[in-house]
Amino acid sequence: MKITIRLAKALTNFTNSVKVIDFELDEENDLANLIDTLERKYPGLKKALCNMEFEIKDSINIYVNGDNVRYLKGLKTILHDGDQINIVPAAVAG
Amino acid sequence: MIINRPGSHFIFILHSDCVNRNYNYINYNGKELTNKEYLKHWGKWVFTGSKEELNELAKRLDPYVEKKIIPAAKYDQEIIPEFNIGECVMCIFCDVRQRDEVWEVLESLGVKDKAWVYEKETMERWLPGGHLLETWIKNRGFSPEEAERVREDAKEKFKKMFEDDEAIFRGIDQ
Repeated sequence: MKITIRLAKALTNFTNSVKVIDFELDEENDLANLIDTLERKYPGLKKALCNMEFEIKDSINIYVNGDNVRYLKGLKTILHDGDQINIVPAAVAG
Repeated sequence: MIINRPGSHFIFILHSDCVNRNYNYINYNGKELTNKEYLKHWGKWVFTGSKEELNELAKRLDPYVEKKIIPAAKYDQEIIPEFNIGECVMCIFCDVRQRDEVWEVLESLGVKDKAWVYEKETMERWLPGGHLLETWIKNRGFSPEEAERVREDAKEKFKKMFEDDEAIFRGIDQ
């Protein structure tokens, strides 16, 4: 399945300034798997998004199709073909 | 109507009746929201861009605000350095029950970043212990006494604003 990830400018220093990443993932993957996969391609990104307990940092918001995953199933949110993930500093929501 | 008040950090896009006839844009289907309804239903689409990009988009959004398809919008005049976002933020306000209709307009105008934020969430982040208030306090370099005063003020302000569930919500001074 194809997932599109859109990163806020403040996070693109981990992706060589790439803001939009199209990703192919196996079916029934969750957000945690996506972050692990991203980390292999863009080392350091996982640490920027998650704390040591592998929870989303307070300073980060992750949205799936516009909805904050904190109000879905967090990192266990299942992704589907065509989903758009937006990752932004939480301050954007202020 | 694009409103750039001297001294305000934000540029607003409001219906002209907000300025001339006290129109309250915080409504759903013409009915003003109570404090309780505001905290349950009101929110915003948020995205970032350069000041120039947002200025251009504001001009294209203004007709939709005048037609009341979009209730209101605001965006940063300048980047806020304390939050390390590196861009200006635009907020497009509406009731969650109309957010899909508003998103369709934004998408037609080229907005791609999709992030919905309830106002309740924003307010919780500006309360003591909330990420935004604590980051702001830290980056402003307040003394412990000043920081405590800021926290107390924030707590009091929000308590006062929402003490009556059934009162009509009138907005926040910004």
